[in-house]
Amino acid sequence: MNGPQAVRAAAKEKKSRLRSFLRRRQHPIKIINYTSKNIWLLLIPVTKYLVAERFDFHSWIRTNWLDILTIIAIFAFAVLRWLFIYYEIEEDGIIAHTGLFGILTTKVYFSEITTFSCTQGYIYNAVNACTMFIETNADSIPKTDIKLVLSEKCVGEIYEVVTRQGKKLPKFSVSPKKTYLLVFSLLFSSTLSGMILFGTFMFEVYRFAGNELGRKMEEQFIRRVNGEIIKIDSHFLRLSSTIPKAVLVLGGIVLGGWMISFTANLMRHWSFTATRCGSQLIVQSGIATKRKHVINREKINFLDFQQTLLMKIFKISSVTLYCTGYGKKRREFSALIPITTDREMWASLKILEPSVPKPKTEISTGRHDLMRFMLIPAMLCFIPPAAGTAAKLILSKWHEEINIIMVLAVIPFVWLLIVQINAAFSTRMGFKNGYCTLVYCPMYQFHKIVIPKKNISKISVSRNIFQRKNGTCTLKVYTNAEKTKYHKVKSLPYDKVIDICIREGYLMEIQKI
Amino acid sequence: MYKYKPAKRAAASIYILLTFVLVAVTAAIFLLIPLIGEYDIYVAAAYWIVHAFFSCVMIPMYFRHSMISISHDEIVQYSGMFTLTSEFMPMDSVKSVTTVITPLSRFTGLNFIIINALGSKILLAFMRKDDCLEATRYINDIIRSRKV
Repeated sequence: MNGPQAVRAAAKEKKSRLRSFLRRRQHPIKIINYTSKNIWLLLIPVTKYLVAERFDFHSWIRTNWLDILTIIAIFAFAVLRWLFIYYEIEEDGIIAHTGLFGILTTKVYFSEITTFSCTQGYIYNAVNACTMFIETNADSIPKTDIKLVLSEKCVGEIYEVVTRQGKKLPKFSVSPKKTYLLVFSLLFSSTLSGMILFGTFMFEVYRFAGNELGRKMEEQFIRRVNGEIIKIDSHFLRLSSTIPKAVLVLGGIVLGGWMISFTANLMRHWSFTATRCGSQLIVQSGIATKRKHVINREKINFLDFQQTLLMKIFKISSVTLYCTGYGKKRREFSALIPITTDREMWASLKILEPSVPKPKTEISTGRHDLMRFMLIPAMLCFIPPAAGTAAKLILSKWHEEINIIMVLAVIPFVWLLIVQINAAFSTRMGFKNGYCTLVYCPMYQFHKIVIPKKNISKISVSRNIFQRKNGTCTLKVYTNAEKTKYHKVKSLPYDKVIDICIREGYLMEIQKI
Repeated sequence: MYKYKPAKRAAASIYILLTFVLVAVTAAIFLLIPLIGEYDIYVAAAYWIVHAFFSCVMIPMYFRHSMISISHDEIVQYSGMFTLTSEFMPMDSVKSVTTVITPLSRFTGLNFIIINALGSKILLAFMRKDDCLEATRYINDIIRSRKV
């Protein structure tokens, strides 16, 4: 080899070494994450001085050298952190070197993965980056087992390795009908979940921008919204002249919450696809934030068929899947089948989870348990009138407003009463074909839980003084999960529950309570 | 199969501790809280009633109802005061055992076992030290035999 050729070969080798060094690193956008979250607060005055000094770098550096040095140090530290964090793929698992200067090494075996997820928000989408999460059932690590921000190409490479077992197997896919999704989201989006979403959004803003700035942004937002509403009202609607302002605000909150919930539902589920491929389920969803999950079917803890009372009446439901890591992140649902008709839902479930039987129950509550279900909601119904009457004594000028707010406040409690009356006739439990089925309604939502018997970690039967008199009990079924998770079914007949527990082998030693 | 009742010494220890608390709180009410003024006797009386209820009703109830049974297949715990609870944990679910043995626990009976499973746990409280060690050994043996 002559001189120039040798130089070229050496340069090529250096280049390929550098490429392989960078290939296993996170996406460079992660460097920004590693800098302090308020770094830009330092950048603003420094840039301002540069502009003020008409880009005279010499005098700018002379006057601001300390600030510039601080910023450079922060960035240098971020780059250093970024350099030390990388991953390796082995035959049987993935190794992540994380923590400060890569001192933490975590190996996750592919066979132990419960959920492999990647999410891509707007910003990451623009720079071809993805956040990858790998979860197992191990609870020694409190958060995610492995979380890395990688380039799309790297995530694709890991995805191929994780899903290689099902490459040659047939795939069965399910996507919800868009018309159903639109209509049902429109009808059944809840105000409460909208408010929760808004709250989460504001929390994120606070977290990202710091408390002071977050508060300012919130104030600005509220002022602007308020101004716009007043403008619209004075020009077109003229509602404030006929309806009290307090009532308008309440109505606005309800409507706003519903709108947020509806939009979020739609954005999450519009491009939802669930695919069964061998022992894995691949779930893809999202328009703005794209999500992809690979779920190990053998490690699914349980399925939850969810319905509100209206959905129950119209025979509509959605199915949620509980598996470690799936739907764990903020603003995420662990949906398996988004809102659809019962018939569609069963057809989809047969495709996605053919081993799960139709839920069968053995014992249920009924007419004689009605009072027990009604008591607390009925008592709650008296709270708004009592509070309203007390408020009227203090605020004598606001009688009309208080009356309207009182009526509005009673509505959720009356609705709860109606829901609980329905729950009295539909609370059930039973074991069949190695699966346990629990049907209960803790508040407004009905849950039908189907748990494989092997995933029940504990059963608890409790009775208070009244329950000991009327022969009922409260059953709590704890399931395999990252945190303590239980399903509470109340007012079940005690003797029958104990008989079933003995039959299913949960009670070798019995002492009646 | 092993069956255990909470150690009577634990009840005695709790009563001794409660006596200390009673003396300390009463002293605090009469000496250290000048804000209460002439109402201190009412505040103290209210506290004594709560204390008496706790000592004479709650603790005896708890110790009367508590029972633990550990077999090869399951762990059963009966406990409670007004609401009685039976908890059943299949032995297959048990992942690990944590034993808490406090100083002088042979005399105080303040020994505890926490049985950890995925998504749940059982606390076996106020066991005799020997019972505590025996139960821990038994459960660990079962876990070990399962893993082989």
